[in-house]
This record gives sequence, structure tokens and C-alpha cells, in this order.
Amino acid sequence: MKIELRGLLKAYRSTRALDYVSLEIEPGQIISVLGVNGAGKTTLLRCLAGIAAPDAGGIFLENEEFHRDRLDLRSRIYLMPDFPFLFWEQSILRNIAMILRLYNADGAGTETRVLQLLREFDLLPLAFRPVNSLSRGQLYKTGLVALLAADREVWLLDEPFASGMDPQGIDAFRRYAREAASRGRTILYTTQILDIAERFSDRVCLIHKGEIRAFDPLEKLRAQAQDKDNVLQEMFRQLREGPS
Amino acid sequence: MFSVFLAIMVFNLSQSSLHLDAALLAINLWLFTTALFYATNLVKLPTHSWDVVALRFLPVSDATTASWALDKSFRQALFSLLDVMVGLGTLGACEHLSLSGWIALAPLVPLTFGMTLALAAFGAARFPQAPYGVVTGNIFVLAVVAYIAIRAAGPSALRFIDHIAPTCNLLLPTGWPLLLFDLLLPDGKWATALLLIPIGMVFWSFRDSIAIIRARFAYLEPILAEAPDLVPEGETEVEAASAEVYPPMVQRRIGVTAIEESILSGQFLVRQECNFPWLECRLWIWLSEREKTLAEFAFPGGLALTKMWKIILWQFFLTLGLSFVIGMASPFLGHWIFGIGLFIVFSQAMAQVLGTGVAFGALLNGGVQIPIYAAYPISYLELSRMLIKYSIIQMPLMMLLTTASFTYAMPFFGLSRPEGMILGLKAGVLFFGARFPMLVFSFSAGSNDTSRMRLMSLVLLAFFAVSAGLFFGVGAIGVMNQTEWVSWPCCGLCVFIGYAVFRIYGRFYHTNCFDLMREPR
Repeated sequence: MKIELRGLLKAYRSTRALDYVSLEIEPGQIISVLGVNGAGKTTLLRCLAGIAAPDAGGIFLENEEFHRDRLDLRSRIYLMPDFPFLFWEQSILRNIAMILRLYNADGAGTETRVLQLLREFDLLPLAFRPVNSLSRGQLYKTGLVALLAADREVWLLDEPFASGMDPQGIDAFRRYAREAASRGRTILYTTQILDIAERFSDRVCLIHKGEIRAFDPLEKLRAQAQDKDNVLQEMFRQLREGPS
Repeated sequence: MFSVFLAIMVFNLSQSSLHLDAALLAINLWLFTTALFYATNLVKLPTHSWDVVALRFLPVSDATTASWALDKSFRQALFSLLDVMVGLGTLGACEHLSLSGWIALAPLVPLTFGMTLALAAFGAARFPQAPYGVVTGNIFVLAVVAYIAIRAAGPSALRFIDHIAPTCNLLLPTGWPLLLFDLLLPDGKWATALLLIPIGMVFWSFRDSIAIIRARFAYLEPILAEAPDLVPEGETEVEAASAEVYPPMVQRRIGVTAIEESILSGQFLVRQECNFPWLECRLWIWLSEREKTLAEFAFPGGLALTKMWKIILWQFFLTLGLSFVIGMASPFLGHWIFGIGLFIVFSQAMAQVLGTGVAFGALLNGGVQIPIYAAYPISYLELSRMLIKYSIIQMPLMMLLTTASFTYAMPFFGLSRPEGMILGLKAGVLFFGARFPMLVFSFSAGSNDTSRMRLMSLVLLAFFAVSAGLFFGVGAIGVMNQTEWVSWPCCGLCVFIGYAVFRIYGRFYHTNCFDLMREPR
């Protein structure tokens, strides 16, 4: 799904979280959204999910303007907040089933896929436990299993690598995300961990004070950087010190 | 602003009814709802504010955090002191107190304020599970009904309020210190001073109440009993399979293989179909597939209509029976039992009919609270449609309740039983109409639509004020007007206004006029 932001403005009182942002995101990419705290990363995801309302500009999905009443477009996007929205008293399986039904993604083959995902994320023995008995990492994995099983065209993930997931979980997520991107899924995730962003993204979106400072493939950024081994660190240093 | 509103209310009542008790009742109800509000805050003290949550992460003892949170709560409660001062001051001015009266009024203010706080602490400590929010909401509804009745019926409504006010002031503990106002008047009865005894007892309980609240403050991470990874009900195939494999003592617990089999059977994806009690089954049949999904989402623990309505109707008939039997010995007591019982019954019935489940529950995410429904692809209209059907299916029972109540109660007010029955039917229609604005409030509560000073917020606030005025105004005409060809269309118009409000707000919602999140308090 092609995503286009046209002059998107979102302000909280006098702070511009997104300052007339324009972007074109082609499908089939993994995009890491980087920026210092308060740069506007989460606001960008919230706007794309229809939670935050832009003050100006618009979001276009497949050239159609996205509003909250466009359920057809919204159901093609999956938002995964930093703390997944689950039903605490219900079991992992029931949560997954309810989310899949909400996305109308409970068709044939779902059982096998859910089983495979639960196994991959080490949740299988816990499948009938209520989610309020799980650890933070297991909660996030539950949300991820629902996301992977729903398999929407656009994945929006807020800080997936600061979610308390164990290395196996992170590895499984990365494998599934890479495979999904090869099938044309668009994956946007925010992170503060530059090493991960450098290894696990096709394109980097650097936001600073609501403005897009970079939206380029890593190769291009690497070619422009002086320190080829620490491309993103150099970019952040430049943000702090100002352009040299 | 609230204090000014209270002063105007007290002044109007005091002037128009020329009776002290009605004005005292206004202050009493105000303080009673304030006490309920503070009680709710004290119950939620460990999670009430983000700074308390933040303190959990610092090396600060629970006792210190509790003291800090309590101090903060009580500091915030100081605003009510202003309410008490303004309320009693207005009353003093209306009653033309002498200088000595004004001097004697001074200690009454902190006494009343202290009583409100002590009651809040008592409620929070002893009855933490009480439905404070529902009671507050119903007092608000009663106040609106009383206002409409005064505007519509004038002196007869005021006479009724005057009639019940002394008993209400005695029944609600926040009224006890207010009744001491009587001592400041030239013809005051000294027997009123006896109320200082129960007031003293409530004050005496304050220390214990605070100790209980403090003790409950200790943060405990929820630790559940051992894995409830049992075979879910209905999965008989897996159960039967495991029964062959496992010995009887462990056959109900399933291992990984059995879990795998259960998942592969697709049982977890199969929606429970019409395996409910009668009322839930009727609703289930009526809902579309998508609405069933939304019903599961809003009520993940399952629909509970029949059970709740059995309780409500049982309590209603108990109230009727008790009030009838006791009313034969003492009509006065019978009326009071009926009134209090009806208040409790209607509180529950309204919560049941206007219920929204967990759909609008807010979760903290990145410093803001986001309603659960907003994180998923759920539209304003489809969620509302499901909840409206949820209300409609319960409307016959609500109609039955309102009709029976009004038919029984109206003769107390000089109306015939058939007139009471018609009034009950109209009230039922208005309850249905209230579903629409209540939905709007549910959506609005999870958004920042009116939280910032900007043109859109002002437009929405004006819209809410005008539509509330229209809804209550037209509704009042519908109920009060004796001419049937005027009153019934007004009831219908009231429902239409509610629906129009719902649709107009939907336009604001759909055109992204505000965020579906709000900053925490």
C-alpha cells in the first residue's frame, strides 16, 4: 500500500510534533523512524492510524484521503503501541481470536499460522493463560502474534525493540518482518537503538522537531557519511551540533 | 465557577420556596456528590495520578508515597471549602442572619467541610467496591429532573421538595452539619444540637479510615494462581482425547500437544453461537456478524443481561412489596422505602441499559490515554449501532420498570394510575432517547475534543450546551404536558434530537476534528 503524507501538520499547543511533513512511502519496505525524544515519531504513527488528527495536510493511502470513517483503509493498517492493547482477563488465544475477527482475518489457514507463531514466540504453553499473568515481553509477543497473524498491508510499531522481548522473540519478529516486506508489506517502526535501525531497515526516516531531516535508503546515507561504520550516530551528532 | 453556580441555586431555592430546608438540601446534595467523588479518588489513590505511579519507581517507601498522595488529595479537596463557604454564606444572607449568627456560622463551615472529607474517607475505607460513579450520575439526573419539574410545575414541585427536604437532610450524612444552621436562627430548636453526636462519630472514624486507606496503598504485583491452562469448556474432543492419555487427576490440564491439537481444531476461532440465556440469545440473533465481533470486543467477559435484569426486577418487586406492607402501618415510611428502593433499582437499570462494556476503557500509551477501540479498525457508527441494539433489546424491560414505577407512585402526587402509566411509558421513551447523547459522551470522554481552548472546542461546547438544553427542554414538555397530541410528539422529538446530536457529533468525529486520545489528569 502506498502511503503519502502531504504537508502534514500536527501541533500540541505551541509545539509542532509534525511540521508540514511530506513523504511518499512505497510498499515493501522496512522503515525505521528515528529521532530524539519528543521529535514526533509516535505522533507520526498515531496520525497514520487515525488516532491523532492532523491540524493541516492529509494522509493518502493508495491516493485516497484517509479519514476515520474510511474503515476499509483503516483495516489495512495494524498499529502496535509500545504496550499492546489487550483484554486482560482473557487468554492469549482468545485475545488473538478477537483481534483477528476485528480485522476480518480469521479465514482458512489461520489455525496453522497462529500455532506456528505461538511456537516461534514461545507462547504455546501459555496459550490458555489470561494475559494479565504474563510478563511485559510475553504481552508484547502476544500483540505481535496477533499482528503477524492478521498480516495487514501496513504495520506500525512503536518501539518494538524496547518491549521487553527476549532475543529469540526479536529474532523471530525480524525474520517475519523481512519476509512480509518481501511480500509487499510496509513496516514502520520507531526505535532509539541505532544499531538495530542500521541493520534492520531499508530506509531511515529521521525526524527532528517535527521535520523530516532524512528519508533515504541506508546505502545513500552511508555514501554521504564520513564515518561509514556509524552512519546514524553521525547523523544524530549533527542534529545535536547543527550542520557543519 | 461551581461555587457561583451553587450560590445561584441556593439563592433561587431560598427565595422561591421561602423555606430553609430546600436550600439546605441543595447544598447537601452538592456536598454528598462531592464526598462520593472524593471517595472514588481515595479508592483509586495508588493509581489516581501519574506522579504517584512515577514515585513507585523511586526509592521511596509506600508509606511516604501514601502520605504524599493523601496530602495532595486533601489539598485538591480545599476547593470544596469554598463551595461550603459560598453555599452557607448565601443562605445566611437570604435568612438575614444577625451579627452573632454570622459569627456562629464561621465554625459551621469547617465542620461541614470536614464532615464531607471524613465521609469520603469512611466510604473509601469501608466500602471500596461501592458504585460511587453510578450514584453520582443518578443524583445528577435527579437534580436535572427536579430542575425541570420546578420550571414546569412551579409551586407544586417546590412544595414537594420542601416536603421531602428535611428527611433527605437527615438521611444523607452530609446534611447533618448543615442542619445545625437551624441553631443560628431565632426560632432554632436546640434539639438539633444532638446531631453533633453522630457527626463526632464520623470524625472519630477518620483516623481509622485513613489508616485503612494507607494499608491498602501498599503496591502488590498481581500474582495469579498456577497456570489456568485448562481445557476450555466445549472442547470435548480434546478433553476426551486427553482423558484417554492422562490419568484422571491430571486429565483436565493440557500439555503442549493437547494445546496444539486444540489450536489446530480451530475451536478458539469459533464464536459461541446462541448458547446464552433467552435475552442474550435474542440480541445475538439480531446482531450482524460484524456486530457480534464488536459485542465480543466490548463485552469480552460475555453478555450478562438476563442475570442482571433478574436481580433488578427482583429488587424492584421487593421494594414494591416492602413499601406496600410498611406503608399500611406508616405511609410516610412506606413512601421513603419506595423512593430509596427505586433510586437503587433505577441506578442499576440505567447502568445496564446504557452500558458500553470495556470498549471505551482507556489505556496509557506514550503519556496519553487512548480508548481501546481507537487502536483497532472500529468505526463510530458500527460500534454505536451495536450498543444501540444492546439498549433496544433491554428497552421492553426498562419500559416495564418505568411504567410499573410511575403507575404505583403517581397516586402519591395526586395523579391517577392510568396517568401514571402513560407517564411511565413516556419516561421509558426518553430513557431510550438518552442512549444517543450517552454514546456521544462516551466517545467524547476518550478524546481531546473540548480539552483545549480553540475554536473547535468552543463550537463543540456550544453544541453540547444547546443540544442538552433542547433535549431536556423538549423532554420535559413531553413528560409534563397533559395534552397527548403535544406530549407524545415531543417525546418523539426528544429521541430525534438525541439521534441528531449523535449524528452531528459523528460528523466532527469522522472529519478528524480532534484526537482519539487525551492527556491524563
